[in-house]
Amino acid sequence: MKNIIIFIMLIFFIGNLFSVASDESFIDIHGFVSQGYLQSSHNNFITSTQDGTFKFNEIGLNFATDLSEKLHVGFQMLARDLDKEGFTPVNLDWAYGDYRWNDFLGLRMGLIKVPYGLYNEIRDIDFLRTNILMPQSIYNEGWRESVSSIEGGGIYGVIPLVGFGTMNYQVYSGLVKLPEDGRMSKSVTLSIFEQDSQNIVEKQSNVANIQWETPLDGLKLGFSWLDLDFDSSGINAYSRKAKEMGLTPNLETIENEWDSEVYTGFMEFSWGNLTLSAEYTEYNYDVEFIYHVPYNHPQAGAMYVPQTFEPFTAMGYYGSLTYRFTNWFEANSYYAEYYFDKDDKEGKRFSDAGLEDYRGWLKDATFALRFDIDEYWTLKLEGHKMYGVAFTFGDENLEEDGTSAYEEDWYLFGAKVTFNF
Amino acid sequence: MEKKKIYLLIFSIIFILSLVWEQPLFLQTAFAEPSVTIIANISVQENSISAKNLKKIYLGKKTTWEDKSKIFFVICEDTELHKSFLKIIKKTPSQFSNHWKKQIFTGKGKAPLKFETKEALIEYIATTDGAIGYILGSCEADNVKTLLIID
Repeated sequence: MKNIIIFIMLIFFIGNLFSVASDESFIDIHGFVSQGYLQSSHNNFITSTQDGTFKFNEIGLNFATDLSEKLHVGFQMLARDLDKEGFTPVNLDWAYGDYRWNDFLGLRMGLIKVPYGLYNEIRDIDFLRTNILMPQSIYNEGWRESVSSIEGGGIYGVIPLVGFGTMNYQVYSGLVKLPEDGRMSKSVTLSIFEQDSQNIVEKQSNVANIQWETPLDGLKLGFSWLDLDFDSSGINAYSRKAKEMGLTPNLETIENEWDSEVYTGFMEFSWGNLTLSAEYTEYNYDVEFIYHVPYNHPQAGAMYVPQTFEPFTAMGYYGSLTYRFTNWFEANSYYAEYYFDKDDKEGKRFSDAGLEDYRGWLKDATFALRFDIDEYWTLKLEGHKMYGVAFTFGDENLEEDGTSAYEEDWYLFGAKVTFNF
Repeated sequence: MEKKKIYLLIFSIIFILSLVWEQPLFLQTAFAEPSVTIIANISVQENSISAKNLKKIYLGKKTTWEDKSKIFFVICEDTELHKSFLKIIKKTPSQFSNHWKKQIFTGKGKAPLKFETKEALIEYIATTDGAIGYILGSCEADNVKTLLIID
């Protein structure tokens, strides 16, 4: 905590310093501090929202410079708190070298923001958008830490299409880190396997983003592909309990090979103070299990029993409208839908298992207000009308007697203030 | 009263107050725009520039002139002049500011160099090969040329 306070003080100090410093500094230093509040009428969403929570903040500080006309380097430190007790440690958010050969071709190496969809690169930069929570159907807050940055390299550029606008592209390959205490890891552990411990090994992942700025001024169309592969292994909860009781479990460990791909198509249209945007995404999950059976078990003949889980596809989309009414006031509204399985929009997969069918979707109608107090300070307020509980976890929404506390129809309110320089 | 109704009421009041506090942009009368002149260092070979190329330069998507020399673009702190210039490249001040903040906070670029006075901006253009900027009115300084904006 002491480190975080020092970090915050450093940001305000540097922010103050730079408000009077020369614009011709060799090193550019920028930063932000935000503090938010979330409260839901029912259901804990990402964090303990039902009781209202201030555990919703970000602090970032970055340094960048041009080492030559073509070589740009920089890094950003980020501390973030949403669902964990206390602050997360200060982490490297991005850090890379950028060699821009020419406008058509540049090379980036290091820890790079993942260009997934229209806005994934700026999901931590709260003051660049009107809403507080981005549409969860595309930008699930619980997965943020796992799709934020890619450690590797790739190419980017802007290709003029004579008479047909321009094409911006980014293609990167490398490792996407999945923190073992993160919510994506928890999803892997809990949703299917009943594992109570998890070991994740990330594999080579790839991401590509192509954006066409059409000849119609302000209209942008694009497509992104994210290939996220990893292996996980864990001990089955029942097996561990059986071993503790001195019994021979019929299953010892499970290894999983995950091959997930995320395809997103998007559009953005800006006309004066009006911005319309929409995205559609499909998440394809293909998982293979390898069960490890003990030698002394009757089934030990089948030491490795590879099984392939039926691949399934989740889907999400949203439509958003933003309008700037005055120089300091802007409003946004969006409607988003997400389905855990696009071929099972009725949630049969869950109801067949004796669970609420609305665990299979999340429908979110949002209205957000943004106030730019000055160049540095931003205040935002927003309300969500939600149907369904996808992206939440059952163990975080239990009654005292252990039964489900889920409600299908609920509200979420958010407020956030941000300082940036 | 239920919490959700209180929140809805607060939202509605804030929204209405925000709308009446200041005249919305879409109701503001258009006044005569200040005359924006695009100037560049004498080393720049071009004598004219299209609005589309100007937009690419100021969004960091075009970084070299036709002779492959580096472009150094600068902006002016004068709010009205800046707004008038942004109309040429079809961006609002908030869109332009957000574009550059996105570059800065994702590591893709440095903030554009900004000058408080016309004199300081002209001096920079005059002494920096490949520099381009905009001013109000005309400029007679040595080593600085005016670029004609073409469609």
